[in-house]
Amino acid sequence: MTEGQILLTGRGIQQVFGKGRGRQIAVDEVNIEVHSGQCLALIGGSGSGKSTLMRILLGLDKPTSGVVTFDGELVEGRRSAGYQALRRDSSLVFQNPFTSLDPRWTVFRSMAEPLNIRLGRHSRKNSLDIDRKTRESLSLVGLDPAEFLERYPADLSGGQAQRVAVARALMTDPKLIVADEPMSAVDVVARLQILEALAAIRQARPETSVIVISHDLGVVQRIADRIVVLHEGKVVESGSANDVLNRPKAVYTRELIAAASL
Amino acid sequence: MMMRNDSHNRAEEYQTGTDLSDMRQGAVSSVERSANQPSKRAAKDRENVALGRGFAVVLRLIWKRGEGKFALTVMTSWVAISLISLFWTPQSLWKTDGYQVWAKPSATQWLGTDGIGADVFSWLMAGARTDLFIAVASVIFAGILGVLLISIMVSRNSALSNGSVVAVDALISIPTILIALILAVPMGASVMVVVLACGIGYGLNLARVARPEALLAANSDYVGSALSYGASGFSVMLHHILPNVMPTVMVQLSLSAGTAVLAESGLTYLGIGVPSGVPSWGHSLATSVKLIDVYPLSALWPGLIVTIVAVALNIFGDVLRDTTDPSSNPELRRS
Repeated sequence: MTEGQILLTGRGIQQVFGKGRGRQIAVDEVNIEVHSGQCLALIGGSGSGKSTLMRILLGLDKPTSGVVTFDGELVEGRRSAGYQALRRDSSLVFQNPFTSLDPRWTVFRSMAEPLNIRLGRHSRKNSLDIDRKTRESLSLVGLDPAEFLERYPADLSGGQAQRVAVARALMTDPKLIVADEPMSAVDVVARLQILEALAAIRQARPETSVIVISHDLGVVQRIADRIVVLHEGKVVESGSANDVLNRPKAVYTRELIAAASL
Repeated sequence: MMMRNDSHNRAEEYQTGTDLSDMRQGAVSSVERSANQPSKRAAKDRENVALGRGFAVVLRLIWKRGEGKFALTVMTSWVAISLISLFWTPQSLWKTDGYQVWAKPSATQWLGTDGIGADVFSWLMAGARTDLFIAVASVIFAGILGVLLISIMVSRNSALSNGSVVAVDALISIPTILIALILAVPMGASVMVVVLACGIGYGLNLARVARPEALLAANSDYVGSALSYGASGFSVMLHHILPNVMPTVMVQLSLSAGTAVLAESGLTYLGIGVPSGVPSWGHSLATSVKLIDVYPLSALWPGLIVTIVAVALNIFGDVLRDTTDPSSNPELRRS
């Protein structure tokens, strides 16, 4: 498999909370890089620092030390070119689909929102484009637009709602999709459907990078190219999915493999 | 546990690997046709249609329920009588008869006469429009004030939001009647005293009642998502937060409308509400209640009307809440 260009990097990232005796190192000297077209799984239990790391990589929090770059630009503060590029070219999928979709909005309206915000909905051409794109994205995640566009979140199952959230993330044609525990708030069948949706996206848009954050090695093994295992803020294992799963070096990784589902 | 040996073409292999993905493939091919035909309707039209349909559906749903029928009937009659009273009352409001005071109901005076011999029924009819104006005006005022306060209270500027919470909590401790008394000093007895006092009191109350819900929406992931795509705070407030607190706001305002009618009676009775000479239910009540021992019926009519209207508005608020939320009302979601 050919490695694409480097899209996102984090170098020597450290995040420290508190001072004195309450001082806690949440993320400790983490180096990470994501190539375009790659699917990276960030694995770790609760308190491993994976969410903190994600917020730093997305430019939402400032690390104590370390540098993040996106598309070759430095991400440093809200005015930086890297931050602007991140906001423009990345999309987030949240853990709980029902809190990430407005309960009073139809699927269509929620999905069209990112483009409505960016393009404005005043021109007829734009609204036709948005219409077409909504249908394409929804089809890509395996939901029939004719059936689902006018539904409200209360009429969706967890898996359907999360796939709508994934489809919404696609609307802006992002270079990077970050999914934060996308499968932990839904049941097992829904997990499979979400995995399929992510796999279909990777096939349809091979240049799009995906970061999946999870506590469960089992669910990501099917789609991840690379796996990074975090434990107590440190990277304990990092490598191709194949290597990590079949020849784990760290004890913690072995525990994770033994505990994995699916 | 299934472990994969090769990392190549994972996605592709997975596509053909399991039954489930075959099913999905089928679904995709069947929907792709519709994906290639964008709907002719613009997105905005669709929203407007949904909105208009929603309004009709809500009215129908309210009417479907027994208590909803009662509330809607009372409210429609109230509006109709107010309008009619502008052009016609059975007797002139200003026709008095010193020999016919506290008369019993008769063919010409349907509910009898009051202490100066004026027709009680005509005065109650005319009172309807004053009370309707007071209820509507104070609800509008309270709604605007409340929504403004809510917007400030959930603002991302923490100094502003914390400050406004403290301010609202402090101001809310002032009773509506005290606000009215303070306003009556410069303004005298007038309809506007009632409207302003009720508007301020209910607006503060509304802000405090709706704040938790507004905060919940403001901190939700859908707001986070909208902001991450570059939506402005104002647009998020308008499109996400306010629609989600609307059910609470509606109910609270309906209750407030009922309370405003009661407040008008109370304040007019105290002499700081509607001035004498202006027909209102509070006025009818205040003039007749002094002689309740002698002529109990004359105090019964305005009291009864005020009670019925206040109850109807309360019920309307409850029914409205139950019917306007698509997440709790499946009928609204059906197209």
